[in-house]
Amino acid sequence: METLSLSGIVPQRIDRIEEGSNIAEGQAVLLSATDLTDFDPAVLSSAGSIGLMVNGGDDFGALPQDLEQFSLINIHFNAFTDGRGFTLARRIRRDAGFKGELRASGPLMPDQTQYLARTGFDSLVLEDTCRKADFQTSLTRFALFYQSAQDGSVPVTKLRHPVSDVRKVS
Amino acid sequence: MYAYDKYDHAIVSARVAEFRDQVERRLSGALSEEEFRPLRLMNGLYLQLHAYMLRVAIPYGTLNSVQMKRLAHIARRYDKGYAHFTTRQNVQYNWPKLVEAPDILQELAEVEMHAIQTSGNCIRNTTTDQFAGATNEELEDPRPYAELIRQWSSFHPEFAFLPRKFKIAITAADKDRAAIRWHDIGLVLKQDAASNLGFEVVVGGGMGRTPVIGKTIRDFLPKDDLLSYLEAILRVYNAAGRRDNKYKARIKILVEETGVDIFTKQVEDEWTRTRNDGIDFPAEEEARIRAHFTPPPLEVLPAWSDLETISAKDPKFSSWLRNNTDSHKVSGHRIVTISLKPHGGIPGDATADQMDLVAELADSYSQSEIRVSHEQNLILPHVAERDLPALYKILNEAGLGTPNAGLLTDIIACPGLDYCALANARSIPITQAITNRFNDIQRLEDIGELKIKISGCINSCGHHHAGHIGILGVDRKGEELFQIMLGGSGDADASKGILLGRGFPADQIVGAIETVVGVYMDAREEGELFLHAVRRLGTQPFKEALYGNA
Repeated sequence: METLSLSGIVPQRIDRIEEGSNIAEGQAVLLSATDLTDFDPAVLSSAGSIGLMVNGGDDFGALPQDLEQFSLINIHFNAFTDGRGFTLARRIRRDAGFKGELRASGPLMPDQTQYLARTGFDSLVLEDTCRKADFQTSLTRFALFYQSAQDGSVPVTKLRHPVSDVRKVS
Repeated sequence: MYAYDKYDHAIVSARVAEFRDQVERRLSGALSEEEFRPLRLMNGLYLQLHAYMLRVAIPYGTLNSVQMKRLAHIARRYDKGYAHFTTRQNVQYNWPKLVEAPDILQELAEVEMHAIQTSGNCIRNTTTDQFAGATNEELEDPRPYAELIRQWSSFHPEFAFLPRKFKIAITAADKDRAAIRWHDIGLVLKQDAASNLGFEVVVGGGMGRTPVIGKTIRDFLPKDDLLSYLEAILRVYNAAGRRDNKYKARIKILVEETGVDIFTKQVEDEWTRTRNDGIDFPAEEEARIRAHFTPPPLEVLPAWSDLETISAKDPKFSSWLRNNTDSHKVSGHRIVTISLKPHGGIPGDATADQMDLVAELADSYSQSEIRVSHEQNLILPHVAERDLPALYKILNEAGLGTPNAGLLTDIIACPGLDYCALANARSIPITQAITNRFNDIQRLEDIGELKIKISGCINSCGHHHAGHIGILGVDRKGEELFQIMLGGSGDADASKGILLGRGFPADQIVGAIETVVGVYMDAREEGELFLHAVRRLGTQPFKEALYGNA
């Protein structure tokens, strides 16, 4: 499977470690929160880097503390209609201040890539590489936006009023 | 009214191009029907019983004559020569072809209209008072806030795949003409003790299978915080709203299951964290939008003295003046409601010729402005009293002069089994039977304000829960039956109708309505409206009259 960059970063190479598998020394591994507690801490510390695998429906408040320990967080969408992953991404970026790579996976549609980028995702696992061009086209579909977002794009209100201050000070 | 700038034009044009590409990919097979479905819905394109249906937004119910003419042109060119105005200030075309839908969107974009988020599990068209900006009853014109919400909610990246559809309504008048307590979020503009403007925020109203009247989660939200507070509500809902059962996925169920106090705390906590994130638009932007809603330059006129004389000589005009016009904030003017409820007709339907005529009348008599009401009528908001007789004459000749606004035959009805794939029963023929029976204006005026609302299934697009008389079509072993409920209201004193008992077959429903009206007429006190009589009497006398004492 190929990983598409949404934010311009180069996606990390990382291996999903299933239950019962071994971690090689220096290996970049993607683990669920349960895997994290199941593995021997000594083995974990020998990994090159650790990514966290979460589900779009996971409760933000129940994620592991200190998300900065992870080189990557992968949010898996169960279905393209299940938009919880967009809110979870926003919270991981905004509330937890996570700076590492935020990756999406699951049966997403080409027409969702710009929404992913704007809620803070850096990369997307393409389950379906034959539509790669459609996923890329959608990424730049809109050049102007009404809202500010996690991708740092300038909303049209800022273009309309370049010198305006934010409305509230307190 | 609001006019697009280059940014609005660019965004709507990008949307048209996106949808054209999506249709092409669907036709080539690059998009599956399952994937295409939410994409077409977010552009207002449904697959109905017989054909596609395209729902076009009329943001907060305001349009100009150029836009109305374009809607008429689309009805002629792409449909069967008519269109249907809906309960959410949208307009629907029932017979467009899929391959032509992008062309229709292009034609709409040219006149600053769109079908963005008129369907799908996203934030829908924000609705408001059809008299906004013209009535003397409001604190301030609420439409600039609705436009702020339109922009903030359009393609919001986080809220395009919500658990279920999401509807926001706003009113600035005590008399709630937008039924805000029946919406996912209802906003009431108000003033605090220091005369600052803000909103009462009501959450979790909705019709459907589980009718719920919204609950106030904040008595006063400063107006500058509107968008950040809405965003906090949406974030809590998107994360926690149920996705396991589409009938339990609306925010009303989340609020009920979480408990309104806990839900409110979750929203407040979220908002406390994010309110200074720059979600709210700068004050300059509100001022820019508000400048588009500067009241039209109406001449302050003395009350027109001839009106009474003319009215006294012409009983039909007199009824129309009484029922279909409302007071305007500028002296010497009236707000005119054009009834789309001709007796024996289809509620909310208008032919292309009628739409063109309304556009021309708006140019001649109403500052080129037109409104659409949630009660499926059209409004000319700024008419000089001295123009009323001429206006009425033209409307009447075009079948648009039915003087029944607010009366028993001003019925809201869903499209029902004649069009809809979800319906169990027909709504339109029932409406026609009722309006054919009660077609005497004097009798209707004697009965007074009485709102009948008819749905052809429990999804309640015809708002039967909020009808003074609600009629619900159900299917019983292949037979269409119609249940009656009484006492619902969409006004500021919103209430749910109470079911009277077993349903009636189609050929008995008109008689049953006669019976209900008869009980009211016999029992009412001086000046007592139907709704108030039902609240005083309870449903028992009506049940007895319909079903006997057994």
